[in-house]
Amino acid sequence: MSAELGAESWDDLSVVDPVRMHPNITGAEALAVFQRKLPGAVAEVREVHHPFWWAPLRVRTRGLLRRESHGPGQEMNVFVNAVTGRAMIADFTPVGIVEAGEAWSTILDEHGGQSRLPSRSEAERTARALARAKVVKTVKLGMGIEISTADGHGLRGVLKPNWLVTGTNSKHSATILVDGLDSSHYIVRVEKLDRNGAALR
Amino acid sequence: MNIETWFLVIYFVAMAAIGVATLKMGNKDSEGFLLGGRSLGPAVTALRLQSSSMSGYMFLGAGSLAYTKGYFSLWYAMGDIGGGVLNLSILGRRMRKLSQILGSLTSIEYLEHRYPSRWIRAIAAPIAVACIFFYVMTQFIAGGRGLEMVTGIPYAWALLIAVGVIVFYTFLGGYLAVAYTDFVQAIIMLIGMLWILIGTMQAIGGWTVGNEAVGEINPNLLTMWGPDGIESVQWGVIIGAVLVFSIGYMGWPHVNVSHMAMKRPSVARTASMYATGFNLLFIPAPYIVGVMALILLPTLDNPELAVFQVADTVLPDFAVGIVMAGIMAAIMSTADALLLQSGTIASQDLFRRFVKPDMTDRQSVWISRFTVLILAIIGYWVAVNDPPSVAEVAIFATTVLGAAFVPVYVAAAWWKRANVPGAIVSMILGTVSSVGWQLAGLVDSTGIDPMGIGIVCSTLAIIIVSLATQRSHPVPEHVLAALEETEKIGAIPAHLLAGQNDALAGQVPKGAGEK
Repeated sequence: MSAELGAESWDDLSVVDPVRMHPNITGAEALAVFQRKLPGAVAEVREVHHPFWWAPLRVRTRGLLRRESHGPGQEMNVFVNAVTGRAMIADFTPVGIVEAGEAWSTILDEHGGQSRLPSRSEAERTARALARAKVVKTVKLGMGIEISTADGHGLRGVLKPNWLVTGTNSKHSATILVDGLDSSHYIVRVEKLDRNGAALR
Repeated sequence: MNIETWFLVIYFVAMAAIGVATLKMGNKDSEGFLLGGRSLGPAVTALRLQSSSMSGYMFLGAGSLAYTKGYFSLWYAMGDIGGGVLNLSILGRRMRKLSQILGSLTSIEYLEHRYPSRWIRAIAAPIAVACIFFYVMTQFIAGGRGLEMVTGIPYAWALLIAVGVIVFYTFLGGYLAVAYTDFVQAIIMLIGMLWILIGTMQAIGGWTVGNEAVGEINPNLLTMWGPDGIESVQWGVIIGAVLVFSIGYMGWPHVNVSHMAMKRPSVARTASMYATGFNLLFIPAPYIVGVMALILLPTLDNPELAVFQVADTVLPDFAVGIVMAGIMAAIMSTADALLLQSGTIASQDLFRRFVKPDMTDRQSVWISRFTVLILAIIGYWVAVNDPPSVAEVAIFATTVLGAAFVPVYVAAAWWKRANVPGAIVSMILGTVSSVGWQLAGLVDSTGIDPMGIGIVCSTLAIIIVSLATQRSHPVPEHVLAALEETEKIGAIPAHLLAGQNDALAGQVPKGAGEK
């Protein structure tokens, strides 16, 4: 494990009690998604997890001339991909098994060698920027926006479930990543096969 | 430089500025360039749909028709007024939802996903590109002629300027640029046309006085049966005329792509109200002005110039400049939508599908831009050397598009049993019958419009062939599931989405791409 990743120390990337979420989609359903793409394929299904920073934020708005915030505001669960740094707003609160911090570190370490990982502070800035962008779209021009963490703590770690499906039919060999929460998919690799089942160049 | 030319220059610069402004907003990937990131609201959707389908025809063709045939021309207006609401209500919501479920970026790709066979795209794409090219060429010619009239510069240079501006902003911003410039252009068209109508009414002393004067020239011009009276009416031609502009443009790929770019399927309902409002205000005006031109300009050489010549007569110089900008708006909004659609079909439907399936989004965008440029150069070359008749080519191209595609688009969204062989035969028969009918000169001898015969042939084909081949070519399960979902209101379940979720690219475990 490298001590330094980008500008931040590894300690900056560690979390306490990350949440390992359960998939909403079963392995059989992930296989069905794969077979819709490759009819008649025989495939192997493997559950994998991806690390996300979880920022539970509270966003309050105030009028241009008012000094004090009013009302409880709205809560947002913002997930920041701990590898790519891209953020998204979740329409759920993550639940699952609370793991030891090593589980998060091990998965993050697998990605650490290939590129610079976003730091905790970068992830927090990204989460706040996304929450602000979401609110700016819907509130009046000139409204003040105040963002704070909803539970008083900082970022937490979440291990999001996905299914990695690898298989072949008579014509193609492919690997597809199926989202463990909503069953959307991403084609990781696809190769055309010849009559003998070897990949065509 | 006269004041009319100044207005045109300001207009051209403003349109180009919109293209530049949308450069960073909409072309980061294919979905952005081709569909504006599916982000358009009801007003932009509706006015884009209308301005890109009205074209220079409303200023040149409609006035000419009214000038020569009187209120008979309102048959065409009737079809046009209802066309927007029909298109949005029949196709809008369903096509938006189905195209997202099936992961389609272009209107031709949508057909292939709904009728899963490479033959669908192989047949549809060339028909669409050929018709669109002819139609865009007519827009170039009309634009060049308009600019020549106002500025007095030679036709070849006027044409070059018009083509250059159209290509410039289509090239820069893709769909978003086209959509927003179309939106602005629709508003300019409306203001320009209403201004001419009001000026005309003031000049002739009111509509009643005008009608009485037209009645003195030929009372039949005040009826809807044409200058020769009811005895000479060809009902087949009337039905064809209404069909072309009402249901006909449900088959136009460059118009239908508007549905796919809507922010949400429910946008269709609001958009249809905007479209109807725009149509009611805009469409009758050029026809009425064309009829009244008989009083103001009884010895007009070229009826196609009726609306513009009336504007020149009844409006002050600065207003003529604004109105001319409106005419150019109509022409350019159609031309840029057509050019973008041609580029899209070339990059997505032909190049990516049949030549280089693994090309990147960036390459795809550049293929689109390159195609736009090539078509513009060829179009300019033909238009400057041997310009064909604008009206004939435009009506012919739109007739073939309507006959070939209306039944397959409508059945795609509404009929679960429409299958691949039905769609293929329908497109081929619609094209062959309408082209053959026209080329064989059967319109005059039978009194039946090629649009009518083409629509009947392609509709019967998709029904009969689909039913006859249900066992051998059943509609795939995932398409049936998508169609069932399309009937429902609400968010699309992720498991039905055929297109991949690119956000998952950042969640691929290390080494997963190795075999």
